Amino acid sequence: MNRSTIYDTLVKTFCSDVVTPYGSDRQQNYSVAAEIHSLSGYKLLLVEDNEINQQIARELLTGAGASLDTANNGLEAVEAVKYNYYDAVLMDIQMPEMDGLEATRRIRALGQSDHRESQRFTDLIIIAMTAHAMIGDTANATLRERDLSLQAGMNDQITKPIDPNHIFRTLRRWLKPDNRKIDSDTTAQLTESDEERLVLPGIDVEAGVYRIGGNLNAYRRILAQFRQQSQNTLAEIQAAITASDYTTARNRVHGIKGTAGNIGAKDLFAAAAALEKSLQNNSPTEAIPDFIQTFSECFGVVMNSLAQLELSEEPTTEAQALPKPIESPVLKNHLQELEHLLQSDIAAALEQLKELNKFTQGTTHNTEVQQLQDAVFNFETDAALTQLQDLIARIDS
Amino acid sequence: MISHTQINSANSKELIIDNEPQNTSQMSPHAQTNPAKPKVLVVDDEPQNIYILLEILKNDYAIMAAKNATKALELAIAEPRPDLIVLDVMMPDIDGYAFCQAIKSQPETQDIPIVFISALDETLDKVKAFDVGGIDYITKPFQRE
Repeated sequence: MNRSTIYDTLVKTFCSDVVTPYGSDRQQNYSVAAEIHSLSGYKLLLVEDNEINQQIARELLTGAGASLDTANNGLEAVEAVKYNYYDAVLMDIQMPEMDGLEATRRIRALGQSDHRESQRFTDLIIIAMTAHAMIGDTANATLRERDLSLQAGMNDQITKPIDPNHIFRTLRRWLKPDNRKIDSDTTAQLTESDEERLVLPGIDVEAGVYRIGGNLNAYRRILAQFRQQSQNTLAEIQAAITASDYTTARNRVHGIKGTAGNIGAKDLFAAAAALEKSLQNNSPTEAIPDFIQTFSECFGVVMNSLAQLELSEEPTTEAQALPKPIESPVLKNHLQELEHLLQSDIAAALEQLKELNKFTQGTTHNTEVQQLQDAVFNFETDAALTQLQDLIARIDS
Repeated sequence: MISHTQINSANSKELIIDNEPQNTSQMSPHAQTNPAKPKVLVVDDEPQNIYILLEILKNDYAIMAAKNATKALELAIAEPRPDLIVLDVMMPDIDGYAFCQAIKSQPETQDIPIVFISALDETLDKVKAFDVGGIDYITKPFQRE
């Protein structure tokens, strides 16, 4: 599954009345996945009067982790930069009230004033967004826009319709790495050394981690879950084939195939696809034993890798500094909130459970919270709800 | 229309809203459900697939999840309803097309857009997918560009 495809689909869906403005050929050269989190820690101001363009740029930039303010015209932009600190401003040129060139001149003028923070108006990165690249005399129009932008005091320009690659490249060129704030999310991301350490035969770790936005912890959890759930799968498939129950066999193989592809287990994916296909006709073919042989070999390699991974996992250090256990009424409140979250926002529910797990350590409720966490990670919502209600009832008694 | 991106949403997680200051527990509140986040219901019988989608989408969308069509129907009908359903074509109880038809036949849910997921090596019956009311489809697994 491809993040940029999902992203595009969602953008299209939520802006269904909009013609996506950044060109139909964008998929060939851009992948939002590559840029995920690349702007995290940066605060940007987007100055754009067109609501649709605003929304698309917002999706793109916040999708890459940026914190974003928007202004609808030059006047608003000048006010916004006076009272907020931005790492960069993306400025449309043609806008009502005040255009981007004039706004930029005014911001730079603040740099020459006796404003006590005048230096930051001089140093502020302002990038023009010009719309002329699509018009007939492209080269001349763009050059002219560029000159005007630079004369007004802008640092660089990008053209509209927005090309995601271009906007990210331009921002990266100008944004100072030392502006980046390290937050807890960022520290959970993959670092090069983590990735080097994770070499798993049969699994393309890089592709797998990349797919979920570089979150190594999440990736490890998926791998552990896959291993846990697939322990008996091979035996089940073999038993089903022996019993001529090809539908069951095919469904199990299909399940493995989908997950194998997603975790980056490419050989297993291919073997599963071939085996699934050979089971398609509900009748045994001579080739099936060969397909099973290849499938079980690939499956074995992946399962071995995952077993090694779990052995090598370092024990958590959290236990050394136990927080003060949560008190029952507070726990109950959190659990009640959780009940709602389970059915409306699973990511928030998982966050909540992670915290609860930490804060119930050493208490009688910790095991129950962990069981609850496992159920939610498996997306067994109904089972989780039942467990949750039991737990709340027990706290009451 | 996307209107969910709140400028300060990233900071709101750090706020301590525990209204019992005497309690020394430092547990911070969970990331609050942002009521303006569009809600996406992911329907897939493989939890790893749901989890991957969750990781990809969780910053911008509130994710609801169901591992089978029965649960998915229940979540789609109950409030708060999803704004979009992302649906695996192949599921153990009923297939994605039938599920889509069921959603489209209920007045409460007929307007919810449905995006199909299909594996890359399978031929998604696109005509059928659109016939039953699907609006788009995505393929798994991801192929690096």
